[in-house]
Amino acid sequence: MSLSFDLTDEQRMLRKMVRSFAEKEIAPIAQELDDKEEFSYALTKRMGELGLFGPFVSEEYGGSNVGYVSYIIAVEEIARIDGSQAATLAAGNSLGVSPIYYYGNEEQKKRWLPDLCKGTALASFGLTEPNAGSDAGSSQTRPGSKTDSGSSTALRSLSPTPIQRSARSAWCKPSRERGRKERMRSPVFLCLTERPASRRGPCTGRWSGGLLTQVNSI
Amino acid sequence: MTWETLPNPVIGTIHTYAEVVYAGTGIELSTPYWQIDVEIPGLATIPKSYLLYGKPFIGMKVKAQFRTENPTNTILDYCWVPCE
Repeated sequence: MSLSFDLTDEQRMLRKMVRSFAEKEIAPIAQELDDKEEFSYALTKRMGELGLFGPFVSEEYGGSNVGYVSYIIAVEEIARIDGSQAATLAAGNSLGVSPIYYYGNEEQKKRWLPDLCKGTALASFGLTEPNAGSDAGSSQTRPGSKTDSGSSTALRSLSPTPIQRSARSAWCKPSRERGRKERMRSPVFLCLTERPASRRGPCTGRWSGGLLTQVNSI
Repeated sequence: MTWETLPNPVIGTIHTYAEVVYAGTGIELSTPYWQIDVEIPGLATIPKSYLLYGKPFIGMKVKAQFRTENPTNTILDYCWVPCE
């Protein structure tokens, strides 16, 4: 049996469309965004309009359901022009959309996925803690946990959240039950960032510049 | 898909590029250097390598070059230079 590595006509069309978008709309401002450490919500919204969020999500929840090869093609084409924008797409999809799509309940899927797939909301992933890095399975935050100060745990999201008041956004925070066997069952909290207890601030001087946003929340 | 042997000179165009400031272990190139992906006409593979000198841009024509004197016998013996 031989494997076919050829792309379908639809995948070739997608590559052409994303390449054109990246060259015409991202390339002219990519360097400036990096230099100023800014994040473009307009570009993110455009990626949503092009159907680049939710490529593996069924149409029932607002996805395009074009599959993972198409998703990879889109990330590859955008990364060709701007790694930061590609990371926004990859993080928004793989860290934001996919946990909800694959592990969320029906109510959560219906509530979050349509806006996330349209690009009118952007999910971020609250990954790091003061004592934990990118190993989500080792996260210490658990339901009801608080820091020594009794206040919030500082979390850094991998992608920013929209600042438009009309936009809805979420961040997912893994939480670990004690015990090795429980590590595979890390619950994730879905939260709106527009909560009184949440605070966003700039996170500069990091890779991808303005891509990172620091979020403090309970 | 089949393997192709290309006769010299091998000319391609830069598909994309990145500036490497902190090189990985075993990459004994002086930093920063330009890592480039090169499209070669007629080939599906877009090989990754580095630009020996010059500043890259997407679409730039480049020519493959091989270190034949004092080779390191690693992938670093292969690089690209701007097409004059």
